Amino acid sequence: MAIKTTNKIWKGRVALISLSLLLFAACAKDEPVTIDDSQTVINLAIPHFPTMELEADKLITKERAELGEDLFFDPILSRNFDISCSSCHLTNLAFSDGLKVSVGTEGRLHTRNSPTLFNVGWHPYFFMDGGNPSLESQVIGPIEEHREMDLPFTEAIARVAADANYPEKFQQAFDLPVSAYTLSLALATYERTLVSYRSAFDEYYYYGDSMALTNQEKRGLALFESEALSCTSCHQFPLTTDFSFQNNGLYEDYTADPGRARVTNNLAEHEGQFKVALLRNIALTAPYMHDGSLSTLSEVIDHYASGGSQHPLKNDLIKGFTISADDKAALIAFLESLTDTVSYKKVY
Amino acid sequence: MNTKFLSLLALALIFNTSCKEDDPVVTPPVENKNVQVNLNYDFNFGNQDFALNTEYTLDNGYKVRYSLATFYLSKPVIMDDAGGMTALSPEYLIVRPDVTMSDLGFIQEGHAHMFNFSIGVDSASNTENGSTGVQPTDFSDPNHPLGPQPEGMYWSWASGYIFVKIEGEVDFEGDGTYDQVFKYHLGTNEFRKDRSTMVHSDVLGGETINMLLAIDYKAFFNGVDLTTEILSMSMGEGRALGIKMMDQFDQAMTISKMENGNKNN
Repeated sequence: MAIKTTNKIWKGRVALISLSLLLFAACAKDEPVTIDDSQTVINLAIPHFPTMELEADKLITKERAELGEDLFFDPILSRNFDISCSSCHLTNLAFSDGLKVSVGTEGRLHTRNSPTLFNVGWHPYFFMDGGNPSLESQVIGPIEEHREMDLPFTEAIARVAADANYPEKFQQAFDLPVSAYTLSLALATYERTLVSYRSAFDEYYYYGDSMALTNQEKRGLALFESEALSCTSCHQFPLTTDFSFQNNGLYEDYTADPGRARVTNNLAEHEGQFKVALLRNIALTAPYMHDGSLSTLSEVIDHYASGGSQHPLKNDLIKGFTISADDKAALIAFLESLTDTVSYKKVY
Repeated sequence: MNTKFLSLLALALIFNTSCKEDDPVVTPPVENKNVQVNLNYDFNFGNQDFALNTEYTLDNGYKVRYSLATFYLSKPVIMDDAGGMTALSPEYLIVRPDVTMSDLGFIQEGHAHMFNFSIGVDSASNTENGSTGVQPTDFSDPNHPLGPQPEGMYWSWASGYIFVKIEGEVDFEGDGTYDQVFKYHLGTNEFRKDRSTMVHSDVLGGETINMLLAIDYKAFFNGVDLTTEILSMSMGEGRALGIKMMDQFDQAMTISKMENGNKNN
């Protein structure tokens, strides 16, 4: 039985990758990501980000990422060949879709808002309720989900294996045929290359460019980090999330979507808790909250300023605050300074 | 003189021996101490043979038709009377109604006391609640039971294997029109059922132990109200029904040892 297949071609390359990481740490501002063309290993070490934890067989290479990109944009993975991953994760919207909830094959509505895929490689678990432990197995979810692509994963594998072009690409990328393992790893590899780390905020905060933020944005940053607003208690830098599960007081009644309790079956402790969202590119990923119920950043701030619902599991830090129109504008300006959809294009 | 005679005699004997035609090599018989273990299946609907997409009638007149009835059987072992366990192989099996028998490999001759297994997947392998474990995407082998299955035996959204997946339709009036779909996707660690049955046999090498797993898919619906108890994904509001249907499945299953190809009890 082939369990946890290890791609032998990467054995012995750890030293090379380590060297690449060291070179990256010292490289110039304009070359934040080094690519070793001869080995086609893509180095995603970002100095001010935590290390992206990867198992040995999941190294990111140009061939794998390109294969994953092809699959990501290919409707071959949907039952009716009508939608692809990119239908709900649009590049111009930071890989979200601008809709309240996603629309799957045959117009079926999901119950959740499409999240950005930027920096998904750093997530310790997947989906808003954390029900999935790996980016690879997460791939099965939208492909099989009735309200998304609605295709049995075994059929997806068979379709890709029967395609005129994909099998050769899989051999090039993995030295292996199309399988559950390689198909999911290809898509996961591409998604890991969707990194966002050079926003104006990053230039200011991590690279010492004092002019990168306007005074209004700097004031917004100060508010964001203030004890009164407590944003950074959960939206911690640099990833802008601590990946914890929180009830943010959006509702009193979470019958429609109990969040984390959906997978733990523990309403008493987990009802209405959702994984803290990333705020990078937040200006591009409206509407907001797990169900897209808030249309603008202004509405989001109003929600937190109001103190939210009285749900017993609501995070204690959400108790409301007073904010002036100027400060609110500054806070929004800061959130908009987190926009960066360019850096991922330089990865490979 | 005497010494010379003896030397010649010895030489003659050696010469004679070496000139003799080679004796055939006699290999001592290899003692076969392996005992084959088979698990046979007998799926029924009451006193009828069971098959998917076949219409059956419940005692209340409802017509039912199953479209899926797949489950995981895992970690089969034979326990001897000293409590020693022999793990059988494969470790995981996916069982569908068209399967008649599974070859579970060998044990050594001796006393086979108990046959144990689980319905479901053990918690160490099951990635419930996002915990680490095994996922279908770990497998390159398309035939591995824990790899992707055509009927989808894994919840990627809740992360874990579906232990028992039963789907079908019910026709309440028996008018030939199916009125209602039933779906029971049963899983999460709490749902696993550990089963054990007596073998109590002294077995010799070369013999076979035939176990029988029987499921009565009519009994599965005993006490189930098919007008309301029709859908459970084992989570949220459907959890209580899921627990009930897993118990129903467990109770509809009997395990026994076969003698000479026949059910023993």
